Amino acid sequence: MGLLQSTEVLKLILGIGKDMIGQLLLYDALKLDFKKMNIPKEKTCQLCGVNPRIRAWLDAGKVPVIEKIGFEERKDNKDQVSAHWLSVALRNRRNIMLIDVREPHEWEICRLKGAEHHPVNRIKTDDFTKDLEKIIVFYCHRGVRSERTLKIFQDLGYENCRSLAGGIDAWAEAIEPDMPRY
Amino acid sequence: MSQEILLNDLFQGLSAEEVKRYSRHLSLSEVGSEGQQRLKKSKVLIVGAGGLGCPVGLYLAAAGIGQLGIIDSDVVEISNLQRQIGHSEKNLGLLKTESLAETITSINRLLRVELISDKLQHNNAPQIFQKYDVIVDCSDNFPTRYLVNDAAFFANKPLVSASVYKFQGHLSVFWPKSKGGCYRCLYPVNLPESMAPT
Repeated sequence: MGLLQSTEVLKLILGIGKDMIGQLLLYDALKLDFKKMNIPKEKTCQLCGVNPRIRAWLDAGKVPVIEKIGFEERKDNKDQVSAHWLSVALRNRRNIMLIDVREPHEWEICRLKGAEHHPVNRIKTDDFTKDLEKIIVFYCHRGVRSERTLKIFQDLGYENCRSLAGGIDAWAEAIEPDMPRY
Repeated sequence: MSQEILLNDLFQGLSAEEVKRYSRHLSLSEVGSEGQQRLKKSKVLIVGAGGLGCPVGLYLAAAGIGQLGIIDSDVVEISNLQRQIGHSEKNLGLLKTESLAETITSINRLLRVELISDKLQHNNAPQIFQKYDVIVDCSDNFPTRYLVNDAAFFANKPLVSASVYKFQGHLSVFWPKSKGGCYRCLYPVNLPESMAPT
């Protein structure tokens, strides 16, 4: 990756070739697979969007709220489920509602079958049922965003929801080895 | 001496040694003498002197970038040596900035290095970034990545960002004032205010 990075630096300075501005390259060493995709400017971006919250340097440099969730808080939450639990549950029950809270570019790479897509910064809690017969399972890439979403839903009184521990990455590792990882 | 002057005329601004050293670049029409001098005039900032920062520093130094800035506050540990190829056994315990600078100047003593053996922070980032032409994010944690993204945005500098997790690597160039999104477009992970826990 360092070599690719240096090459892009040289290309930028020399003004040669096809630049990678606004693109994302994904490299999977085990599969020797390269994938490239565009990163569009998001209207809702807090920095470069239409109505940014970070307008001056004073507001800059902060990690978005979600990454601040403590390790202990995550570890202690009993409503985390494993990839194995989820695969068994999906096979045997019909009352699981799978919610993917990742960003659109991640959804494009891979997703769980039957999932609905609600990126975490646009998710509307009103869209979901509080029906206890339904189990809402949130998942993201590695389990941080879904855990945070779970916590917020729980605080709002949604009692029957879960978060996939380790996210879709853990799922790919344990259940679906052919799934593209990033 | 006269030969050197002659070469200087041909490759304006490059010394006889540089002409020899960069001959494989000079013979490429995409680089040439003009491109090599452009590299020589460029300043590149490397944030992090670890698994990514080491190869980036080595390659850019070899290629003839004029000035490299290296930021890192860690020291070299034995567990780093398996992948951080700019450090060596004899530099265990040394600051990573100094260790990497030693290696890269042993490849190319013609380049200038600026070592910043501090953590990149809100209060030092703007001043540091403003001096460089291109920023390379080789860091290993989220707070630094958001900070680097924001500082590059406000300084309007292209940001070449990479990361590695197990067997997966990511590479992006962010320059939202030119085109495309930024690191926060990729990873907003912000919850709408309506959902913020009270």
